[in-house]
Amino acid sequence: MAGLELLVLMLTGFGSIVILSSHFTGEKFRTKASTAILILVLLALTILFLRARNPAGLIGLTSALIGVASAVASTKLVKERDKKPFHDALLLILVASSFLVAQSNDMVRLFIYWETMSISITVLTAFHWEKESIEASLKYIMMCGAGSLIALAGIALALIETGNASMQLSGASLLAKALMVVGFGVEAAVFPLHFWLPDAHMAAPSTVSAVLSGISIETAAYVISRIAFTDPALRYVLMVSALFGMFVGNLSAYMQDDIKRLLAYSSVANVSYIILGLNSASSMARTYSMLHIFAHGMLKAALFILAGLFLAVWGTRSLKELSGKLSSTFFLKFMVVAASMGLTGIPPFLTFWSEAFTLMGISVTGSFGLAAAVLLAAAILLSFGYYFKLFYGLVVGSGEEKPKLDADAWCAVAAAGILLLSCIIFGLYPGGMIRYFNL
Amino acid sequence: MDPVVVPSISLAGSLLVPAAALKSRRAAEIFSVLVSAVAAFLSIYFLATYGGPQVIGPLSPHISFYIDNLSLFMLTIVNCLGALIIFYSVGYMAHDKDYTRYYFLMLLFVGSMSGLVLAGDLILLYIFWEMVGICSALLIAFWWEKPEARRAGLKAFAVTRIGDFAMLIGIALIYVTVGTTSIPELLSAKLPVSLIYTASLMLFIGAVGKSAQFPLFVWLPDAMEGPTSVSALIHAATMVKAGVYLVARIYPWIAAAPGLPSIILWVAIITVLISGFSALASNDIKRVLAYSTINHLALMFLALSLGGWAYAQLHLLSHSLFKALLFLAAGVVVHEVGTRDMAQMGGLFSGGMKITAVCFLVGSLSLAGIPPLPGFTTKEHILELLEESLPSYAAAPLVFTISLTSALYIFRVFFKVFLGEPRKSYSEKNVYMLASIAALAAVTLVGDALLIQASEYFGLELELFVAGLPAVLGTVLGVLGAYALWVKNYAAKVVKSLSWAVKVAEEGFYFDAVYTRVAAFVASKVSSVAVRIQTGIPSVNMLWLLAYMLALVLVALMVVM
Repeated sequence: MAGLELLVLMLTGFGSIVILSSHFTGEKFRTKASTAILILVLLALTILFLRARNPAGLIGLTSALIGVASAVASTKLVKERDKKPFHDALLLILVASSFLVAQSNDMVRLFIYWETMSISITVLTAFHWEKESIEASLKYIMMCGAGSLIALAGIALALIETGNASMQLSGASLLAKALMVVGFGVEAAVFPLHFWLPDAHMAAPSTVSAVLSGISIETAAYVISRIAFTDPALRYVLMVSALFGMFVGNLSAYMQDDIKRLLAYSSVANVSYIILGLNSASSMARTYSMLHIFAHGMLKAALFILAGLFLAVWGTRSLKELSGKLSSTFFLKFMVVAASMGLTGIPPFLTFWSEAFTLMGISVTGSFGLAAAVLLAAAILLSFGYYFKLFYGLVVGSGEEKPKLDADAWCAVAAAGILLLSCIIFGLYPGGMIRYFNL
Repeated sequence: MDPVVVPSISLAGSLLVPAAALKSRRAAEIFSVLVSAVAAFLSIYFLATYGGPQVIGPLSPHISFYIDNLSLFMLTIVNCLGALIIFYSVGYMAHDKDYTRYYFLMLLFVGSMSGLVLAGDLILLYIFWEMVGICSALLIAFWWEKPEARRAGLKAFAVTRIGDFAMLIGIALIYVTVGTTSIPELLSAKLPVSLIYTASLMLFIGAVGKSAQFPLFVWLPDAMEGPTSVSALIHAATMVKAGVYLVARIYPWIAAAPGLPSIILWVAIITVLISGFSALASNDIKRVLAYSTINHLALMFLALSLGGWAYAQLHLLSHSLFKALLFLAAGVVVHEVGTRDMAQMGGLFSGGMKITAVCFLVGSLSLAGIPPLPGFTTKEHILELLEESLPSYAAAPLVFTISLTSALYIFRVFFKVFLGEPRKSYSEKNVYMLASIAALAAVTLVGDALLIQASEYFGLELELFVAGLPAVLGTVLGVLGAYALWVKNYAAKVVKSLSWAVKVAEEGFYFDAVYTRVAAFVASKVSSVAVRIQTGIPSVNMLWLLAYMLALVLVALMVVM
């Protein structure tokens, strides 16, 4: 086991125990102590992740940044104070397991980390312990459980065929790889295996939805693309699935009234862009798809945190009921408009580069690539409709009473702001990130 | 000091507008006017001291600037008109409480547009191309409490993006094949004809979106929901010219791509006819001017397709002058009358708006192609090119129709708005607005002098009085026809007998309606199908999983066998 992996495991394990033990600090300090420890551990993890100068490092950085923002926002967004340490410990495990899954070069360890990630997601989805969240969690268990079994069958077959557990998969049959792609593809929200996702991302606490939508499914997409890249047939199947996925995701988002459900469908579309780019024959498309993981993660997590804040302040996630509620508050209005516009791929956000260069890269890989690029452009165009609907719905109007935001709410706003700012800062110099992580 | 300082000043200035606005509204206004004036002054200075092509950079990968006569010419137009229109805005936006956002976006636009025309690399050009698009969409939707303004902003953003994506693919082809996106390097390189053709076609599609040409012209008439100052600057004088600029910039490629000039020619001819008739049928003063802009942009593309590179630039200059003037004068009218509907206007000249009427008349004369105004000179040269290039049985009716419709639609506006009996008394009090239109009218009146300077700058010997019979006939009949129809009131009879044609033209030949229907179908029917297939029922989800797995296993078996 590599030293970095061991350090991450130890820090995560130790951090989780300390966070859980904050439960005994008493009702008054529990929330703050747990949050503070989580943030500290996540910052330490960020330093460790930055030592991995490879795509897994970028996934780790994305995961950690979203984790820190979620932790800061959690004091407002997680209303179950008695269970807060439990939430924080699972969030930490989820963040760390994303990195561990991405950097794993060994199938067995990959599967163990994968299952750790899945268990965290299952429990966090059901965290509110309401009918909606329990139902979503059960749907997730059924789909991802079946997926895990199929992936396990694929791993077993590959182990028998190759005699080793290397992720290089040289000598493994196409069937073994196909089983792994299908099994892990459920978590990656590959079309048509993504049907569990909107329910889960909607029902989970917004802090968790931010991590799930922002990095977990993208990590899974990275893993299946690593496997599929060893075989052209699998790459093409995944690219075709992605083409369907981006349209189904965007078209479905357009019909939603629930903000979190809208954002979840939008994530289906975005992870499809990423899968399309990562499986393309163009190195430019692959590089910028990796950047899209970061760029999309920052903006989507910011919007999920803001959606959670709206729920906490106005008690609803319905766009109709929230109509015009932000008209009198400059910061919230600005952030929703900026994040939504950012997701349409405008400068100076990093999404501008990631979408533009993914599209450019794919377009020059032959006639299939050109057709895929045209479809990708059409899908991105389609997404404008619901992003505009989202921010216009929230900010247009006048005469609304200015919401009273307490200190915790401002922390959530600041957390979303940091994510937005990260997307802009890295958008100003994307080359730095590409070179640092050797993308 | 090099010309890159010009966009830098406007971009930095835009960021400082909120700081100035903290002090007072007046501080924000003075600051914005000063910044734009300094940028305008510097752009004139750089134009006057131009010593030959120059490449600045690369400052970092893909960040370089290319200074030549075309870029400095465009830089000067953008910044001079930008400064004048920002000055006009002090009066026009005097009662708008969102002035900080307004001046921020206007300066950001001027800076981005200046960056676009100076860009020496296609990637940098594309960044500025997107930035002007964003500023445009946000300024169209400036009064976003109005649903029409919101829809128009979204439409402009989405429709122009169709062209932008094609442009991206064109840039990708160039980058992957040649290994550079530096414009001067690309223009001097010997490239395969197939690459030149495909890449130029893709870039031209980008230009079609930005310059509102057929079939992507539908966003521009709706863009008139924005403030009139925005329409004048962005949707008449500058941003919509970015497409013309792009085609002019890659002109050696266009000329070398077999068949591409013909495509541009046909796009321009279809656009010129659709927009001419639509302008004639519209009752919204700003929509008429918008269709007219589409019409004149098509003339510029026409010139480019027929080898008249310099004439396209000269028409760009004359159009920028008279169209900015017409829009700003229309802004004064709308400000005073409170509506854009021409049916509710009339008699504004005798009602008290004499300065505005005279200024509008100067713009109208230039637009219609009446000598000795610059619109006449530049339009006639383009129409003459058309007559020389097409067979006479096709060219003469086409040139006649173009001249006739131009004169008809602009004098229809002038007669309907300014002549007749006034409904009430009107006043012209706003000094900022009046000074701006008076200055533009004066410049338009002496526009031929500017054209001579500009033609020397482009190495062209310009003949000021060139006139073909079909064009002259069309213009004269157009003015007289407009007088008969809308002053002598024969219009009602004609409109009644041609009501179906008027309706078709008023609706922009239903292109927008068809696009809207398709978009609505996708948004409702196709979206609901997409939602319906995702039932969320666990057993159905499992079936999908099994089906997908079976499909992949089948693929695996097929590959093995």
